[in-house]
Amino acid sequence: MSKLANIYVFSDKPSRIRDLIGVATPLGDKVTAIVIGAQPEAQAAAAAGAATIIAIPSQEGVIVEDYAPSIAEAIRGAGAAGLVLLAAGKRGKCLAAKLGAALRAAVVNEASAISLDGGLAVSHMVYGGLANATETISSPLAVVTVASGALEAAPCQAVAGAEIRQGVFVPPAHPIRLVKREAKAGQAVDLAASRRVVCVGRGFAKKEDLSLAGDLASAIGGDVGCSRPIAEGEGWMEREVYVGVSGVMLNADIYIALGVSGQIQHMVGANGSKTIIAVNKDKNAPIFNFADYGIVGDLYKVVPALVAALK
Amino acid sequence: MDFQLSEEQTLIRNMVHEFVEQHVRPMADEIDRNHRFPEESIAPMAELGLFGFNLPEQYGGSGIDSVAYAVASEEMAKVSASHAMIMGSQCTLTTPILVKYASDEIKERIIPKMIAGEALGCFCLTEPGAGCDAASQRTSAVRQGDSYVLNGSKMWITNAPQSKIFIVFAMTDFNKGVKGISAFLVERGAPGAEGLSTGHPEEKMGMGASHTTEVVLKNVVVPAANRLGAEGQGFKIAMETLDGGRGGGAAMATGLAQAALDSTVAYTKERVQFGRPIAANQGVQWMIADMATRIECARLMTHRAAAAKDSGLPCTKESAMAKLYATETAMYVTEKAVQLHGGLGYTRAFAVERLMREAKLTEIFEGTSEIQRIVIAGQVLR
Amino acid sequence: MNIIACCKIVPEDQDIAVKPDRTLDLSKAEPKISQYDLNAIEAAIQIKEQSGNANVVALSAGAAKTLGNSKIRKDILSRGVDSLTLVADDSLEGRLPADTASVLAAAARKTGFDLILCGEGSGDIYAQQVGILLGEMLGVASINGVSRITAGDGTVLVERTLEDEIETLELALPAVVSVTADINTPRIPSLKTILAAGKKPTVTETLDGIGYQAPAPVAAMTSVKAPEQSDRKKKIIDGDSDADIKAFIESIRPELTA
Ligand SMILES: Cc1cc2nc3c(=O)[nH]c(=O)nc-3n(C[C@H](O)[C@H](O)[C@H](O)COP(=O)(O)OP(=O)(O)OC[C@H]3O[C@@H](n4cnc5c(N)ncnc54)[C@H](O)[C@@H]3O)c2cc1C
Ligand SMILES: Cc1cc2nc3c(=O)[nH]c(=O)nc-3n(C[C@H](O)[C@H](O)[C@H](O)COP(=O)(O)OP(=O)(O)OC[C@H]3O[C@@H](n4cnc5c(N)ncnc54)[C@H](O)[C@@H]3O)c2cc1C
Repeated sequence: MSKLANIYVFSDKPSRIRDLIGVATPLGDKVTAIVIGAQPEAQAAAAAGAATIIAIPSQEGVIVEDYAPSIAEAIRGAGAAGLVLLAAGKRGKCLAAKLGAALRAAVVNEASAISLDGGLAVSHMVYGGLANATETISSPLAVVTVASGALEAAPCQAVAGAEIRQGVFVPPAHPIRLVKREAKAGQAVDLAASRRVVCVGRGFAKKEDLSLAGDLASAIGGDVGCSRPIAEGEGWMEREVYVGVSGVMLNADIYIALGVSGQIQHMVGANGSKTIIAVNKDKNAPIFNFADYGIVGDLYKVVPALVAALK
Repeated sequence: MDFQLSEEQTLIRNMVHEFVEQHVRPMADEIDRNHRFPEESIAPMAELGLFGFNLPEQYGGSGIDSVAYAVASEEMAKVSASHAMIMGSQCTLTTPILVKYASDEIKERIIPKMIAGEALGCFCLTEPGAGCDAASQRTSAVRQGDSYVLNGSKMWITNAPQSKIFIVFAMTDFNKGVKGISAFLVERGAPGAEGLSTGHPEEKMGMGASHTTEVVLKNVVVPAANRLGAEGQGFKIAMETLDGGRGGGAAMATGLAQAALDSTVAYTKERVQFGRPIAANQGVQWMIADMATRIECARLMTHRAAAAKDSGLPCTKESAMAKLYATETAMYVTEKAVQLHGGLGYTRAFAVERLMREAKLTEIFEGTSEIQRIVIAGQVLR
Repeated sequence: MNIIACCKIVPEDQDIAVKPDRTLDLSKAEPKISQYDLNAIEAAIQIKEQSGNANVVALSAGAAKTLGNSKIRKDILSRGVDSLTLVADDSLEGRLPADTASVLAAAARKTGFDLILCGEGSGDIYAQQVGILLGEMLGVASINGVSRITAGDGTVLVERTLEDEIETLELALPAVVSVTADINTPRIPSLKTILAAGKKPTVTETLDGIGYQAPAPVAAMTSVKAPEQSDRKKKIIDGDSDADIKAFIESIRPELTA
């Protein structure tokens, strides 16, 4: 099938606009970026490669999710057919569903593939990463969220003289009041963009020992991630850095798992790595079935030796 | 005839499974190795109602269902037999005696606390000179006005260091032999009970986390109202309680055996020697078939004895047979499991080493295998 | 306050097998309550415990042959809810989120509610949108990603832990809130709640009974396949003696210095 006529891109995070446009470009004839704000925001989208931009005026105290009616209106005005791409964060997923309801469009979160062969079809993981499901879209419009690095993004040139249109703010029927917002202490790294990742699993006995993983990461010039229990059970690391079906999907060159058992829900996030290395004291840990290199041993013994050897 | 568990029994099994996987498995090896009583498990176990099995709802219990208890005990023992012991001492050996024989005042005061895990109880029958021959009690209870004065010492008492509630068997009349034994409730900390003390935990082969100690009674004064049942009824109370307890022991043994089999199945499919998994050898397969068959039989006997008990049918023979067969199965299966794990089976790398040590106890406590055979023969030859 | 906690019955993923042609064999997978919906149920009963006077209805839509399983119904009821409403119809098997949300919306309208809680996504298709779709279809406020809820007077305060910020929002009731897995640790049902489950009321609705009208389909699931296993080298060193560690380091050094 030929390209889609229209693709709309919206990102609640400025950092994702370029890669969403890069994903959109090979799929559509015309890519329209929707931004909240005025000239500076529109220019940033143009610099990232958008030829057409719809700028919705920013409102005091309105959360991004409450721009859904405005974004829907902008898309409706532009034809409401084709594809809407959003960044797959919590905000993006909330918006996606709100747009889907408003525009009677199919919604797919965290796409693992978008295909145009024989109609628009979008794949995503199901059953905890055990399988990929493909949904063939029958609505004129589909709303899809995409995680950082999950889909190939074409390089995009800045567009000089992009067409900038003025959108309108449509107030939500049931506005949500923002009471308080705080930045999280210590910005987490974007692991999806890391080339080398050292991953902490429950094989670590206590939080203080995580410095071992940090030492290894600095020795190889990489970042530290973890399995879900380390972030959600123990709370030793940020939730943004756990790897897996409900966490980050890696695209790294090297992934080193320390004391990670290698359950499927975790491995689907790690399998995108080119080389997988595992340290685990249990010979039968599933991780060894997914590894290129491994050692059956105590991470407390292996890691310091590894760090020393790499220095 | 339907061999299925009821929906509730299945949900109870799932509940215990969830609890042991979440809460107990991470500590199971550590508590055994360090002989540490898992204090932190008591409140969550109570919250789930695991001390309220087979107790009337009016006291906060769950009502009678011995099959459900057997299912729970099996599930618990798969991960930590010590936890199953702690639960058993409470649910089968102590609270049922109070429910049946204590005054209303005692029941209302104590049973809710036992169900809530605020008071643990222990069953004090065995003495240095009264093991299998439980009737040859030396502990004395002498009536003085409205009280009894207890003197003597008990051995091998599960949960004793942690207990507030002691069910003590003692002689009220040495001339009457078995008919001279009576049962008493001694509450640690009550006035008059200053002379009750517990010793150091025995250094056991297994079940390290369930503490077993001596209980010494020196001029312990208990109100006559704390006598459970009539004077002379003690031995009957002890024996009927052990009848019930046996079901729990059988279930625990079944759980130990099942855990050992599960580990063996996984290991023998994985371990490659002579170019193929060891499970591909017929000799190994036959061992596994025997292990699985015996476990199946043990479980059926255990559930049948429990079901007979709940229907009010005679179950002395059935309970004894289930206890005998299940515990000997646990020993048989865990020994084979260690064998099939090879050298690793003889290390702490796999739980089968601990399971084998735990299985041995089941053949000894709550009536040794020999005593079960005596009971069974007595019933059969009647 | 009337709270509805939505819960889906999904196959136990541990028991799903991958067939040689990479399709899935679900035949051995027992039905269970979707993991994240347990968080929604727990959140509902915690609100009830805090506010004292709330009624919690569990709502599940699905195939009649699944929801007809009385063990699974007792399982839901043993989790602390006051009653269970089922929309059971075999045509609901394998429906996509837009359909599911419209069924739940019709059922919720009939039951009445102040607050609806959903999990962040189901254990089977994990579409992560039913809560928001439901809110939009019902024409009430809705939000996702909620890691704390405090019920107020006619409102709820919710905390969302987002990728780089934490925000507190106030939603006017009625509202639909999707909660995250770390909002709570769902309690394990107790012996008592299991035994009481069979005595709690269950209402079984039909699609006609709730006035359900199927929306025009927006998508169809055309294939479900396990990903191809990428071939890994599997060079595993069995042991951590100094010599083993040295061999391990030497084996991976070329990768690390590449
Ligand atoms: C719906 C659902 C979604 C999920 N999503 C995710 C997800 O996105 N990401 C995720 O990670 N998990 C996820 N999980 C959880 C997942 O199933 C596993 O429970 C989790 O990944 C296990 O984490 P772990 O490997 O760190 O811990 P464990 O499984 O406990 O493994 C610890 C490992 O450390 C080894 N070890 C212990 N001590 C040492 C030592 N001294 N030296 C070397 N090795 C040692 C052990 O042998 C063991 O293999 C999900 C689960 C569900 C049900
Ligand atoms: C870990 C543990 C926990 C325990 N918990 C409790 C508890 O909570 N409360 C309590 O009261 N007791 C408890 N006991 C005690 C237990 O019930 C006794 O150990 C058991 O009854 C055996 O008594 P004994 O050790 O004195 O052995 P003995 O009676 O000395 O027996 C030794 C051996 O001789 C055999 N034997 C004895 N008589 C005969 C016979 N007539 N025919 C054939 N063989 C015979 C026995 O079967 C055994 O093999 C516990 C024991 C252990 C090890």
